[in-house]
Amino acid sequence: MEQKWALADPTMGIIFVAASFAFFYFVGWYSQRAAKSSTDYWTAGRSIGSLANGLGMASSYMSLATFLGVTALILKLKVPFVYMWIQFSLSIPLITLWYGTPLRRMGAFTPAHFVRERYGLRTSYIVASFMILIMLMYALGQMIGVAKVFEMLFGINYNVALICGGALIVGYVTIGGMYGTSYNAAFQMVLMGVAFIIPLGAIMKAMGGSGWYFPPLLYADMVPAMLERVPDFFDMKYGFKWYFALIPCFTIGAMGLPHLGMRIYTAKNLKSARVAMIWFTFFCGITFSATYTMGFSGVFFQATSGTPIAPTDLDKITLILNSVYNPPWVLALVIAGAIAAGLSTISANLMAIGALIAQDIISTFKPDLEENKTKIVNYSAMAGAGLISILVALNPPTFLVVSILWAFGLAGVTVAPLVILGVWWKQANRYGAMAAALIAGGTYILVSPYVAPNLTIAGGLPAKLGMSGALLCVPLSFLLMTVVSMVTNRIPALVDKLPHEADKKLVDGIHGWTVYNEQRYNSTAAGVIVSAVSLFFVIWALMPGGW
Amino acid sequence: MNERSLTLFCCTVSDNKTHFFFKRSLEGSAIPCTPTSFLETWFLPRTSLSGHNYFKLSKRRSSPTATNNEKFTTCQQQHSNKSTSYLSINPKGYPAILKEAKMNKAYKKEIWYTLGFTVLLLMSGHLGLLFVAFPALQGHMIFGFPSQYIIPVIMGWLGLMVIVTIQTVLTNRLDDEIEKMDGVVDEI
Repeated sequence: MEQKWALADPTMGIIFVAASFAFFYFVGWYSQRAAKSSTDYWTAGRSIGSLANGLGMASSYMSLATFLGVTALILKLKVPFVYMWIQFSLSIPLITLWYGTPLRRMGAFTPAHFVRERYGLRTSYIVASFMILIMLMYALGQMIGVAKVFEMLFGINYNVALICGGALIVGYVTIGGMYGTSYNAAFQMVLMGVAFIIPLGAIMKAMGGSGWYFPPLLYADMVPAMLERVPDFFDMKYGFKWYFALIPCFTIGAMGLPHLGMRIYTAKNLKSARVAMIWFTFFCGITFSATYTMGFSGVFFQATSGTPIAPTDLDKITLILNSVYNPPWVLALVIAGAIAAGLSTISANLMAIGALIAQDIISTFKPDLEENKTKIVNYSAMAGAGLISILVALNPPTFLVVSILWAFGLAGVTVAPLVILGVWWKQANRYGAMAAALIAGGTYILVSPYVAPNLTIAGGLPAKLGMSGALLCVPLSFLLMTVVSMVTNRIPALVDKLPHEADKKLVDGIHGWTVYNEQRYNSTAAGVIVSAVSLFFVIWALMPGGW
Repeated sequence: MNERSLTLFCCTVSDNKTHFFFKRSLEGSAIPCTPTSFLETWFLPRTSLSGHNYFKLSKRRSSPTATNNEKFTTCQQQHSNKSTSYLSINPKGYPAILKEAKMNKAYKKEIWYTLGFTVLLLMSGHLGLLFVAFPALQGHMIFGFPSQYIIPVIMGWLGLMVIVTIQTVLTNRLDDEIEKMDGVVDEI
C-alpha cells in the first residue's frame, strides 16, 4: 500500500533554515555597503573573483528542481531525462563563447541592454518583455516550490508560507543587490553540494553500495540489481528527433536566459570570467552527476525495498531517502540545502527582472536620473519584481504554471538568436530582429499545448516541455532574422532609417577591435548558410514522426 | 604570371587607417591588391628571441624608412629569391600593413575557435545522440554501466571540463594577441 510521506519532526529543519536565512541577510547587508552606483548594484561592481563567480553561476542554475523535481522525472523518464539534464552544463561555456565576453566588454547590465544598443529601443522593449515573462515563469516555479517546503516544514497554510517565505527572500535580495546575491549564491552552492552529496553517500552505503565515498560516479555495483528489477532503466525509448530537439530547446534556450549571462558581467575581467566557467563546469558536473545517482537510488529503493511511493510524493524522493536512511539532523540539512537551491535561483531571477525593469525600461524613459534617485529606482525595481512574483504565485494563472523547461524554449526563440547574430553578424538589423522575436516567438506560444492544443507539432511530453515547438521555432527565428535582415539591407529607404555604421562599429568594438574593419563579421555567405540550414530544420521539424 | 617577378609599390598613409597597395608587373601594368595578399606574398613576420619583429625585405631595394613616427612612407621593393635581408623594427612601431595582417589572422582565429569549440561543446553535452543514431553502440558495459549511460555522463562532466579548460587557455591567449594590437580586452 502506498504511504503518504510527511515530515516527522520539523524542529531541526526550522533551526537550520532559520540559521541559513540569518546568514543570507548578514551577507546581503555586509555586501551592499560596497554598492555605490547602479553598476555596483546590478553587476557587483564587476569585481567578483573566478571561484565565487563559478560557484554563483552553478548555484543560479541549480534550482529547487535539483533536490525535488529532477529525481521525480528520473523516476518517470529514466535515462532520457538524464540526457536532458547533462546538456544543461553547456549553458555557461556557450554563453561565454558566443556573447558573454563581448557583452562584458561592452559593459552591459543585461542582454537586453545589448539589444537596445544594437537594434534600438523598440526591439529592446520587445525582448525585455519576453525576458521578464521568462524570468517570472522561472521565479514562479521556485517561489511555489519554496512555499511548499515552508508549508511542509512549519505546518502552515500555503498562502502564509508563500508570503512569509517570499518576503524573506525578496528582502535579502533587495538589500544585497548583485554583491549580496553573488556571495550568497556562492555559499548556497557549497551548502547545496554538502547537503546533497554527503547524505547521498550515506544512503548508498546503507543500500549496500561499495562506492559510497564518491556517489556521483561510483555506483556500478548496484547496476546488476537494477537491471534485474527495472530492465528498462537504461533504455533509450524515444526517437532521434526527441534527443536532437534538446539542442534548440534547452542548449540554445539556456543561452537566452538573462540571469545566466548576467553572471558573466559581474566578473573582474574577461580572463576571470573564463576561469569561472571552468569552476562552473566542475560544480555543476559533480552536483548533476549526484542528482542522477539520487534518481537511480530512488528507482533502486522503490524496486528493491518493495516500498511504493505515492505519485504525488515522487518529487520528494530525496527527502524520503534521507528520512529512511539518515538521522533527522541530516534531513534538516538537506531541507536547508533544498531551500538554498530555490533561493539562489529566485534571487538570480529577481536580479534579472529588476535589472530589466530599472536598466532596460525605466532608464530609457529617464536617462538622466540623479544617482540617489537611480538608487531608489534600483531598490524599487527589485522589491517590485519580488512583490509581483509573490502576488502571482498566490493564485497563479494556469498559463504561467507550465513547466519551467517550456520557458527555456521561449528564451531560445526570442532572445538567443537576436543576441548571437547581433554579436557575430553585422548585417543583422532591427527589422530582422523584430520579425524573429515577434513571429517566431508568437509561433512558439501558438504551437504550445497550453494555448492551442490542436496546433502542437508533436503532442505529448515534447510539446509540453516545448521541445517540438523549439525544434520548429528556434531555426525559424534564425531564418527570419537572416532573411529579413539581408532583404531589408538592400532596400535603401529602410537602410536609411538605421544607424547602420554605428551598429557595425559596435560589433567590432565589443570583440575588442579599436580599428574598424568593414570585412569583419560581415559575410553574406554566412547569412545565406545560416538561412539554408535553418530552413532545413524548419522543414524537418514540420515533418511528422521521429519522436 | 610569376608572382616573384613583380615589382611592388607600397604606399602607406601612417594614420593607420588608409592603405593603398599595388603590385606591378615587369611589363609595367599596375595591379591593385589587398594588404593581405601583399603581405602574404612578400612579408614574413618573425619574432626574434630579443622580442623584436623582423620583416623580410628585398635587399636590392630596401625601404627608405620604417620608423614609429613616419608621416608618409613610400617603398618600392623588388623581391629577390636568393638574397634577403632583415629590417628590425620595435614591436611598438608596427607598420600598419603588418598590424592589419595580424589582425586578420587573429580575427580568423577567433571565428575558428568559436565554431570549433561550439562543435566540441555540443558533442560533449549531446553524446546521447550518437547512441540513438547508432544503436549498435548501446548495451556494452563500461566501468560497470551500460555504455549509452556512462559515456554521456562522463563526457558531460569531465570531458566538458577538459574542453572548457582548453577553451579558456586559447581564448585568453587570443585576447592577449588582440590587446597587443591596440585592441581592448576588457571594457570598451
